[in-house]
Amino acid sequence: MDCAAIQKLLSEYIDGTLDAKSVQVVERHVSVCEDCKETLASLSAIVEELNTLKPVEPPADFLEKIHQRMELRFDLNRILRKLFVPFKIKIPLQLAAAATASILVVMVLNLQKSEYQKIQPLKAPKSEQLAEKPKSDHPTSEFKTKTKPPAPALEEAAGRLSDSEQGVTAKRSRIKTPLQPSIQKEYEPHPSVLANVRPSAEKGQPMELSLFLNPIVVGNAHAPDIGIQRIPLPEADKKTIEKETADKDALKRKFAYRTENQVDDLLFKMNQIIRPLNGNILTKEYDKQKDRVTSIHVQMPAKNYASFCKELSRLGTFKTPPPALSNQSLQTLKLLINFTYPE
Amino acid sequence: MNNRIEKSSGSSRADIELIRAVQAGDMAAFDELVLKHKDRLFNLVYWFLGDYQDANDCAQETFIKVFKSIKNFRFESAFSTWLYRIAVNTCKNKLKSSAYRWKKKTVSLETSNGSKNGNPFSEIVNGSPTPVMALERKERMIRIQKAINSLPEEQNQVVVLRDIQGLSYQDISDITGLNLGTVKSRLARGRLELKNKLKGRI
Repeated sequence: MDCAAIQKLLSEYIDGTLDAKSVQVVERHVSVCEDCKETLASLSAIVEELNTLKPVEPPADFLEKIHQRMELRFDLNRILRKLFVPFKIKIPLQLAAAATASILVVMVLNLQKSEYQKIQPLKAPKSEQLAEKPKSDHPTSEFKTKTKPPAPALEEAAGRLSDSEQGVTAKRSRIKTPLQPSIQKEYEPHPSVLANVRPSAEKGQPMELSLFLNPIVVGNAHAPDIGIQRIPLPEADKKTIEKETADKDALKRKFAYRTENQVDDLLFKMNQIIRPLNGNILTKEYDKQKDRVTSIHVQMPAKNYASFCKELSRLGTFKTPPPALSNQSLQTLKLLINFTYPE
Repeated sequence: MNNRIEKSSGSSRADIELIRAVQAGDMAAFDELVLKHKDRLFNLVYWFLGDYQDANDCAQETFIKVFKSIKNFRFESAFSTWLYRIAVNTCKNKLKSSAYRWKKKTVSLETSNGSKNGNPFSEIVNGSPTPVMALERKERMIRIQKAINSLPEEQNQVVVLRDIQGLSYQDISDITGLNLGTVKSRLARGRLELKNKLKGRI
């Protein structure tokens, strides 16, 4: 056996854990090999030295330090346990389900409301919205007030408008307020007015008339009578007109005040025409920038439609001939009259 | 030598009683266990790490771990074997920690002359008859310590457990989790390495 193999056995030889046969081999080799003999002596000396090393002792406060560290650590654990106290309140499953369901319902309703608010302005032009509102079922009254709250002044005006003369006075004072740059709906019809219109309105869209106003109608602001250019009428219509003239004259006296602008002029003239025919103006839109009325929404008995068209033809010319009444059973008629002004 | 190996195996009756008392919540019994085993454990940890302060910290940590897990002790091995296994693992973790490696790099100059806390042999005053002999003995101890600490970790563990702590091959196998053959070969290599490092100095 060579020296390398013998040197691997020397460690166990020193510890006395080698079997008898290996002990004989090692002892025979060491007796003839000086290098291995020297290695064995060195290893034995080192092992002996290590065995007799004086043990290194711990410091005197070893146990005390252990106690300190344990207390510190257990205090920390206690604080952590207190901080993260398990949630012990038990909530019944039904209650949790009900709470979750109600939260979901509220969220969905809020979402729908916000969607509705976004869609509403894009749905239709303002004049159409106004006409459609009374017959629309979907939006609740709550939504209506929230999406488009009427200004107090306008509500007031709407209420007064049904009271003929007072309405005009209130309207004049309102028109003097600072102008806004866009076309605005002047007011929403009073619910009582809409209630009267509803039966006929539900039967169809309002009939639309487009009128090209004569220059003289809008030119003279202070003398309504002079401003109206009378166009010769056919003989057949003269009798009817004569009958209405008496009422009209009375109304003229009633409204005998000085108008200040085109808005009042035209509205005054329209009132002169409409009221004798037992009709009234429901809504009106006007261009505040140009200070003139662009369209009005009128309600009147269907039987007076022909007379109304004749009266309108005095203010200007129809862009297209007035449509004939298709539904003879209509009691009340709604009309949308658009005005075009001469440049 | 074999008597020292025999002495460490198996839990003594006193250990068993103390452990049962600690398991029942008796802190005094734990103190007694610490006082009984602290010297041998501290010596073991010191020779593993080679630094007195680190040994102190590691030995304390070992006893705290023992206290925390003593309820799980099933008396399947000797208490000392279980204690040393915890100590060896704690030392391994310490040696692996980046903080310890950093400290070893930065403090080496400070401890080269043997500081009070780093090297207990720097102030040894033993029963040597003459001051010259005491100085020689002190220098020899420092050389041995450096040689042992310079051994590879796996050889260092086995040499310390066998030659300094005097444990049997079987105990070393139980503590380290190595098989007997590995323990023997590592010990043989470690001793030869140590002989080469200390050649002509002992």
